[in-house]
Amino acid sequence: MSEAETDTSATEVDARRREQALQRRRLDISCRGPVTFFFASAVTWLLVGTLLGLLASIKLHTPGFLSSWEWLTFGRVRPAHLNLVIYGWSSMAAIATLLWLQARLARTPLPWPGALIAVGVVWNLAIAGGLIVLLGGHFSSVEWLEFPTATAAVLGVGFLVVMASSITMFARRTTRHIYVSQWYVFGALWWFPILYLLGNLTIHGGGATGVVQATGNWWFAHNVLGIWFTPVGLAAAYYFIPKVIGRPVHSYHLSLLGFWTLAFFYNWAGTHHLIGGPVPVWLTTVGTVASVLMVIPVVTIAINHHMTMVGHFHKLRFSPTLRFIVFGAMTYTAISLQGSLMALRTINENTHFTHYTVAHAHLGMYGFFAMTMFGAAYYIMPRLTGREWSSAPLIAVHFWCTGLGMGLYFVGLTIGGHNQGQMLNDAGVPFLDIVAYTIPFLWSRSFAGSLMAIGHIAFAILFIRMLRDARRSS
Amino acid sequence: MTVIYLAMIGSWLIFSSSVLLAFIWAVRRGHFDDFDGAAASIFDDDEPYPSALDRFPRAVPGPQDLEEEP
Repeated sequence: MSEAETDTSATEVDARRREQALQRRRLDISCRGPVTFFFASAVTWLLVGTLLGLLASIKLHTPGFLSSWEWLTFGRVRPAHLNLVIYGWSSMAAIATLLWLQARLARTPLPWPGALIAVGVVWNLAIAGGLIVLLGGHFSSVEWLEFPTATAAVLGVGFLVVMASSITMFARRTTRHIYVSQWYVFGALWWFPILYLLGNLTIHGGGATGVVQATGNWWFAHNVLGIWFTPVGLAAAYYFIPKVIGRPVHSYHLSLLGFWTLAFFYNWAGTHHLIGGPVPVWLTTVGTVASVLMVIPVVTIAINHHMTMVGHFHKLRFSPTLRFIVFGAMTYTAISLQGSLMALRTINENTHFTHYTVAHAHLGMYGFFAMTMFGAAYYIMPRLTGREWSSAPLIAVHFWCTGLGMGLYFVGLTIGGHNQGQMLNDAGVPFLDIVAYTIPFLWSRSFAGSLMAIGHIAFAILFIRMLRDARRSS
Repeated sequence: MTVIYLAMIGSWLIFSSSVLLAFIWAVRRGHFDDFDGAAASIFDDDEPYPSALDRFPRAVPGPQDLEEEP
């Protein structure tokens, strides 16, 4: 930093560097237990969630597959897949990443490691219990709020504890500056626990039924993306890209403009899911306007990440973290601009209720968010355990299977979904013809999902080996 | 019917007004005065490193990429 003036003697500089290296070490040690636990849990749920997703995918083109047991019918497997990847994999990876980021950026140790691990343990039990209830067929059918009330209550309290620990670190920060990633982490942890509690209270509390329930559902579900996963993913991208390539972010000014415009616009966008529904027109118009306004933060973020990377793209060959995070950041631009377009009535009337939307959702939650979390884990875990990743080829398998798998998933369902929408809007086409038409595209989705599953298994092997090596050496 | 609209509009107002308050706080505290300093705040004195901080394991010979154990 600039405080290291030229008149400082060389030994003082050395001492200062040594002190900073020690500080990094101390911060990482303070994070070791909770962050490792949350990442390990996330990887476990990723594997289970992937299996359930594959099952759901296969059942759409081969309905007889495992259908004799009601626990594994499509109507149960799909919500189980959805909730495991959202609250098991994505949220736990998000918490691991944001706790570590906040400790590093506030330069203060992670407080209450025991309590955070306890939250992680109870969280896992709640999700495992929720999974059994979902597969048993008892759930609300309100997307992303299917979990039983007990699971929701545990997750709600867990979010509050994570929020409190992050705010404590922020309050104890030993740096003068607030980095842009901290704004994003702060935003995510301030908005999401409130949203989760309000969402559960209004939907499960009986205050909302019928059309109103659908309204509340989509207001909630879109905000999960917009003010929970998006800020955490962007916080990681804003930290890891400059850190790994060794160059500050291209324009700090733009990065702040992106954050504050996102903070003002995103939470209004959810009602675009109700276009064409029996709701007041102003309600969907608000969502459409906010979705189009989101072009401002998205373009500033895209320009900024691209300009930071210019001249450093060759480093993608050497750094696993950079590969995954740059993949995620580029996907973020694509997915967000696509989302703004899909919120327009003329486009929405074709894409709504088709596989096109499914491709869009996976590009966001997987191509952007999951890939960014993989990148974060590749950077954070070696620093917590003091071990290198055990195999470069396995990392390559992970990257190429997930990257190509996601690409294939998106292309197949986007083309199939687009044509499906055109046929659905044509009253002359019999419905069963449309169903038959989509089958080859659904096969391509199952193939893509299998590729992604192979990537996840490679990642899980790497992760388990790292934990084993760390245990052996300690 | 009205409950959910109250919750939605209420949350919109809570979220937006909290963002506005945080923004005013940050302006008053001078957090937007030194962009270069803030952008560089993720690096320590010995950083940015001349080469990437993160590499495929054993892909390139040379010093370990992990920060040294003091």
